[in-house]
Amino acid sequence: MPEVFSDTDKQSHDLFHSYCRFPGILFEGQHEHEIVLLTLRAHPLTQIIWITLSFFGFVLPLIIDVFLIGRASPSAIFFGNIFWWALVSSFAFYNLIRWVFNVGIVTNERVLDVDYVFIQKEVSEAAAFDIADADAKTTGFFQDLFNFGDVFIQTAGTKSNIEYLHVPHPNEVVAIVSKVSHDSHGNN
Amino acid sequence: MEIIDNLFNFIQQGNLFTFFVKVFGIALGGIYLFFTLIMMQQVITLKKVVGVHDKGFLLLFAQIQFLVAIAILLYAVVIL
Repeated sequence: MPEVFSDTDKQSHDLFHSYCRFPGILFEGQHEHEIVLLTLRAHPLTQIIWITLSFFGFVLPLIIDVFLIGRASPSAIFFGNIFWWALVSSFAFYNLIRWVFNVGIVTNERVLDVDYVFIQKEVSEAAAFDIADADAKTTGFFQDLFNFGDVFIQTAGTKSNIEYLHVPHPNEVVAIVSKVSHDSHGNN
Repeated sequence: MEIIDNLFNFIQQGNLFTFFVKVFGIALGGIYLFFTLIMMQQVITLKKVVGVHDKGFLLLFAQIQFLVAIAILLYAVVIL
């Protein structure tokens, strides 16, 4: 059985802030007495593709320059290199922003899912009382090995379901969400 | 007529490639400047939606990118 709230007052930030307990953050529309229990981001391992691409992107002009020197003007080569590096750093920055702001939030009153894709953000939320079921799905070798997976939170009726994809410790997340839901039912 | 003569002289002197490189540079620089401006605004907006303990580094990086984009555009206009 996963541990739910053994250290309730203890703030923790695991795996590059992808799994934070009691993170002490504020978000838009937060109620006065609402406490953020958990913030979730995709496991850092899922970001390895853009990190690798960015690394090779930075190195690439150094290789291409060998063939360009003597064939193109120095100012054009310099401009090309600077522009390319700026593009690569923007690509890396955009992916970093996507990772940082694609966040799942579990509070003592509700669950929220903030999704960000370029110039588009979407915030879905479900009240704890409306949570019907929470499931964790872990598939594949790496997800098993590094303990991350998808969490699906189903809500009652036609309200939107919440998904936290590739988050660390999915079973613990389900346990926490279930406890929040259970507590809200107990209060009503 | 003088403009057309100058244009033909310009093409005949073999500066056409340089001219296209400059136009290409200015166009790309302009698009990139617009992109970094959007990114900067996005960071400001997103930080209002969810607080992140980044100590202002995300916005700082976005602003640095914006300044680099201005430098790239100026380089394309003046030097390239």
